[in-house]
Amino acid sequence: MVDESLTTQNSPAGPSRRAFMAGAGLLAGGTASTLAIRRADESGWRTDVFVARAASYNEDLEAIIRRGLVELGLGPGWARGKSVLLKPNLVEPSKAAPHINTHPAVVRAVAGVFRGWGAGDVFVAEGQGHCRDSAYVLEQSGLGPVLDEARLEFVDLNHDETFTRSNRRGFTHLKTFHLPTSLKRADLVVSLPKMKTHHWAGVTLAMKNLFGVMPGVAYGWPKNVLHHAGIPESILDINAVVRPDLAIVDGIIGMEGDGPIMGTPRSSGVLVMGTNLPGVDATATRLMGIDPTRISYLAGASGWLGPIAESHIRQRGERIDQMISPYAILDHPSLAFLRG
Amino acid sequence: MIRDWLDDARSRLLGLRQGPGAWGYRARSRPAAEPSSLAALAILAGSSEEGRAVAMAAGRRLATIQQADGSIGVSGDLTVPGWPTSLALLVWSNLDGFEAERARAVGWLLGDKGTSLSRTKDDPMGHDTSIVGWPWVAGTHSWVEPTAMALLALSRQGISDHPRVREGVRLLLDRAIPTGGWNLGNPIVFQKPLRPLPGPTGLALLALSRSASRLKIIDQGIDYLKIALAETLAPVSIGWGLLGLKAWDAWPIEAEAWLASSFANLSRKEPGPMELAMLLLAWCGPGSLFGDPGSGKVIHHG
Repeated sequence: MVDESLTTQNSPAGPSRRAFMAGAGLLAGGTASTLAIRRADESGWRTDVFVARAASYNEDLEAIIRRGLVELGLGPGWARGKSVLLKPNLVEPSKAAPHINTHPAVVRAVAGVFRGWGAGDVFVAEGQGHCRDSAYVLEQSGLGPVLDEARLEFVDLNHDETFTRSNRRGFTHLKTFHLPTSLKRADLVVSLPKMKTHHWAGVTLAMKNLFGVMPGVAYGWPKNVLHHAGIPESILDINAVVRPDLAIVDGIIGMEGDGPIMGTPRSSGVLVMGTNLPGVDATATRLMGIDPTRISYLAGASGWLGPIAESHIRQRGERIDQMISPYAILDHPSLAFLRG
Repeated sequence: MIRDWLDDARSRLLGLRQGPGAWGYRARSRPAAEPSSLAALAILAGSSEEGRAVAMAAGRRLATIQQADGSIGVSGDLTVPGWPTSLALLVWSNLDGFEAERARAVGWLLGDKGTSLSRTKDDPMGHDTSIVGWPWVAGTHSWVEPTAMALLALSRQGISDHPRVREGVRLLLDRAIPTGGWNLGNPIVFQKPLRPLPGPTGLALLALSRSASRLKIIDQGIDYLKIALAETLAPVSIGWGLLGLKAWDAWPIEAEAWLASSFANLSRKEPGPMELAMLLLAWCGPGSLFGDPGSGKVIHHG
């Protein structure tokens, strides 16, 4: 749900912009500064994250997701009558590389859960970053036929009408954000990312997935305005403005190496879900065998948008230590910071 | 049979107007510059008196949202970025009048530059980041689609030997993917060629047909498109793709069937103005709407 207010439940004061920028600047040389930020600021935060085992897309994903959400305290009373926007990650179409995008079976399963709980209006929306033609993306990704069969509406956020929200406490220099009006239609916004490495941001999960909310007509293809403003900083600002309500990470088959589009498939057999996105992303990052404090936007989110420390995340479902599946990281000096 | 879908598509497109000469991105969304421009060009391509009157209305409407600096924003509400300026200029260039609007738009376009980036050791980008083309948004890098649109618009204005045009052509050639085709403008990252897309490939080929000689890159793009278009029903991709092929006299014999199938598939849902316009434009071909082919060959190597 879009909310200009930055007041967050269970949210002590976050780090200042200067503190984060200093941390981000030092990140290249080590992780001490980001660790300091995390330790200093998130002690008052607690969140629940559910890790579900799902060996393949042929499993009963709707039942698995429903069980996980119930464990998180969510249910019909939370969803009934609500308008729900499901935001998958469809960054680029390729029939030959389905591990780029959120699997259609996951999108359909999540829609099934919300419909079963009496949601009034469930729709799928995306503003993919690399290809302007949504019809082509839906066709090549395999999501289009699934949405047709399930009678789920798709909204092209790249070409939606827009409204403006200020970026009052922003990490970037961007004073305002142009947002798609379909966000206003949604009572609940659900981020449905793919579990992937990312050759600029380290990992791309529920928080980074929100780049796809930003309309291409205003930000370009790729959303180059956000790159120039700083990828980690933009991720934080967008999450603070959009304020998604739930994240479910498709880690059944993720992507390792040269993500987010040229990497190789990595079978992790997990779905990670929760209402606090930094908590969800930190957990997914651990499952990828990567220290979340090394991901600058997670370090920046720590204590401001949520917790990332293991001790502040109440783990439900599968045990992380039994599900870790280390993801290969691209061998390039610019990604050396991700290695221990 | 083919005539049936053409008439139906044109009729539906006219029915989607949100006022005289105004179309939105979706059936009932507010008017925007890009769909209005493409729809006007598609209607103009039909060469009827009624079509000319509709396009004239679009030209007048676009003039009402032109900014003092000459740019045309996404819509009357979203006045920046100004990348749709190229498309509005194409519309005006195909109509009588609008001299002042065209002059201001050309002035703005020639001043709109993508940022160049200096290369670093171990630079992951495989293209020449110093070449300046056109960005989607001021203050950002140059990309294939806005550069191609700007080249088409300037070419239609007879501006084909300007240094900006020469550099824009150079940018498109540099951004070609070594294995064939174009994407948004990242041909190689971390030493890997990225995947091409039919829309940008068609647009780049169309733009280069006005300014470049037939290089190996062109043939590779054509080869890619012939395969990619056979595997899609997506109207916008088919539209730009076929325009690119036709511009290089590479119209496949299956093209008419692709267009009819795409329209039939589109008709099962709620067609939008962009989809209808691109199918109609592809059927009619670029003709002189996008400038005369070969009117300003500026690259003669390869």
